[in-house]
Amino acid sequence: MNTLVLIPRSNRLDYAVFGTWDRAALLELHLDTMPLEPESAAEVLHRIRNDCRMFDNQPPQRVVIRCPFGGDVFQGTTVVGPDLLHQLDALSEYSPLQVPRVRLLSEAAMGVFFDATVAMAFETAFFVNLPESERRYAIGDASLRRYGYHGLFHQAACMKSEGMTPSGCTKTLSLCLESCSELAAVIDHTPIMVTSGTTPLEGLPGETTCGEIDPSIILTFAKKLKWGPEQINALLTRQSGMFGLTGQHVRLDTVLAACSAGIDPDGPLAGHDGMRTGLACAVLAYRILLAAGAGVAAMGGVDRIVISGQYVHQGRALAGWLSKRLQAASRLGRRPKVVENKDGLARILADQMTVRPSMVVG
Amino acid sequence: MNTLVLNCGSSSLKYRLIEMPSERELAGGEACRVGPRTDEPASISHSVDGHQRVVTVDMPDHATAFEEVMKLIGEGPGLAPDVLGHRLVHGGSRFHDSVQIDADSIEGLHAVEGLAPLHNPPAVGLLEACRAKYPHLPQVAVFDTAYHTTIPECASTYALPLEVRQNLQLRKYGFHGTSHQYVAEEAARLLGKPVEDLNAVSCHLGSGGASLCAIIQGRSVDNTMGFSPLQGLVMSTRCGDLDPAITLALLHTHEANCDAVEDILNKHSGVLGLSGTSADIRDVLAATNDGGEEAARMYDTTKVYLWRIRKYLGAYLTVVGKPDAVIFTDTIGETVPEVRRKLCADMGFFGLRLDENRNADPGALPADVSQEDSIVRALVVKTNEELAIARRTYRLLTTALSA
Repeated sequence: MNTLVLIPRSNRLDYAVFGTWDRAALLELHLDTMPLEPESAAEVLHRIRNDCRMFDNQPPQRVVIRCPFGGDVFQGTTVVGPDLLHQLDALSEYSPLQVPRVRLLSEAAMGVFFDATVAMAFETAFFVNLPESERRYAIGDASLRRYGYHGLFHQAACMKSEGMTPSGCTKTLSLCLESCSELAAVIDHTPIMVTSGTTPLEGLPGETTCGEIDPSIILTFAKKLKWGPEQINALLTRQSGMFGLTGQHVRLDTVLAACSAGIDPDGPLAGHDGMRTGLACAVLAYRILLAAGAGVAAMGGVDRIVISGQYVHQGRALAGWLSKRLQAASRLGRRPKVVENKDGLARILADQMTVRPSMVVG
Repeated sequence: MNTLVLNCGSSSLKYRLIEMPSERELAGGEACRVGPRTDEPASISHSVDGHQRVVTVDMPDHATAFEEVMKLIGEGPGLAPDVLGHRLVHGGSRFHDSVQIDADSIEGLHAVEGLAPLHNPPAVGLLEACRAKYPHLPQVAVFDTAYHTTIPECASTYALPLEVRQNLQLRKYGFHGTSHQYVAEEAARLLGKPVEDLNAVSCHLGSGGASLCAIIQGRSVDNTMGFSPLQGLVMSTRCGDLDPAITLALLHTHEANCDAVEDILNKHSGVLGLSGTSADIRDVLAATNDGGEEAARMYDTTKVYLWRIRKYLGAYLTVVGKPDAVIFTDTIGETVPEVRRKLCADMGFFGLRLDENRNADPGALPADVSQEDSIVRALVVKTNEELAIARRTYRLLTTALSA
């Protein structure tokens, strides 16, 4: 039984096919275009359906589509149907760039893969039931809440470390190293803290996103530079983070490589003196350290650190350093074990269809 | 040396006359409703030797208020100040320590005025007025931000483009430095070690503003407040940390009216925004749990308030590595045992164990409220920013004299 994974991105469509027994993908490709019309979406999916036929001459029996935002509505992977599409319409205003294109693809997938189960996996679903204390902001509008945006990676990370603690109660710091990284604190399978907020802009600085900043900085932009919300948004989302710190487009793996070379595990945080990549590395590592300490306080301890995401390999040194710092802070002297989850997003999505027992049928 | 400490608010002037180095308080008080006339008359509440009186007097600006204060102080024998110590909220990146006022420092103060537009201009105006009227009196400026100039670059840098950081002087400055430094010194004294060897997390939990400070070898290495006092913890009416997209959305909703958004985030958020009824966490904690909607809202407010502090406490304990103490200070930190109890619960990972009985009744401050076997000591220390300013002023001037 084959599973097709569809990952719509802003300017391309990633897809992969997984068989029943092999962890590796049978096929992993992308199209350098993301269809924005129903006709072109159907056409693209027909091409993908034909690609899939090269395996046993069978179309996929399962299709799973990644959706970055599911609001409070979707608490797990959900079978696509008219109700789901209707609910997505209601969510579009909260994620106007992403949700409509996922909806379009889903509707087309229902037609093209009429003989398969088509489901949608939401990045925010893992965090729907965050504790009130974590999800609320200290403002009057109670409808604004924290979500978290790499729920699929974190969920997989916790499954990876399942049963590793004799007590059966595992306290995990899950660090997802993506272009916009995220740290979550999870007890067993229940997340209780996450760095991202209402949007992925909050929390750790990303490749081009600012992460945590003083709210008054935005007002300073508006007052002193006379910038409007769009201009400020462009600065915070596309010109900040590692890009802002280094002054050049730099991928997170480059920064993490600097971290590997520059972090003295037994000394204060240090980057490469005089190099702006060194500053980016030091800022990122420090923010991760703060978030990890916050997560430990939230959980009342930590058993392991699980790293995942596309930059998992380059994050090894950082995770090792983090583990040592937490051991130094712990008066119990325990060093949290570092676990790597090397599964990519496509594999994790396929597992949503094959491993997860609690698939919600919407 | 009689040191008159002046703390200039946007519409108030607090003062205390302290004899140094004995640290004996000679007089004190507060001028209220300084500025344009309001419905209530402007007045000065003046106190000498525990005897308090209220004087109603028109005070259109801080210079006039200061003049009136000097008149009241001058009524008592032997109370003439020898030196003035001013509290300055913001010293920017320019002032790393207290400074004796001269023409250069006045110019420097004007350069950083824009970083604290509500607080610095009246304080600098007062400095200049004092200088003109009493040129013989030495004046010292003590900055709330100075203690935090040791925060390393990795903690003080926002992940924003260099050009905007430089142009707008955007960095984490940190605040409440005078208080954090003072309680760190007191804690070191209590623990019997030099402050240069003290590693701690200081929790300045006021009924208004609040911040935590990570301290390594007596120096600040991080503070929850940032470029402004808005960042960080949930405060009485300030929001603390917020997703940048929310601030942007508010700007959009209010048609780019910055003042309206600033007003929401500074004056209608925090404990007030969450509870909807009170800006004081003590009211929220005291609310009766009758199972109703109001009680649930109060309960949630408490949880959010404490959770944010707890997360930062864990973050800073991790940064500090091997802390000697967690220090609680200011109104909430000193007087609300329940807050300390909830913050220290389940912190065994960090070696912090509170003694329930000592915490409930710490007695005279400073006090150690941790269990005997707690590796990290939980200390309750009464802050005294005016005394701290007097000490810095005295130290600076006597050092200058001996040099």
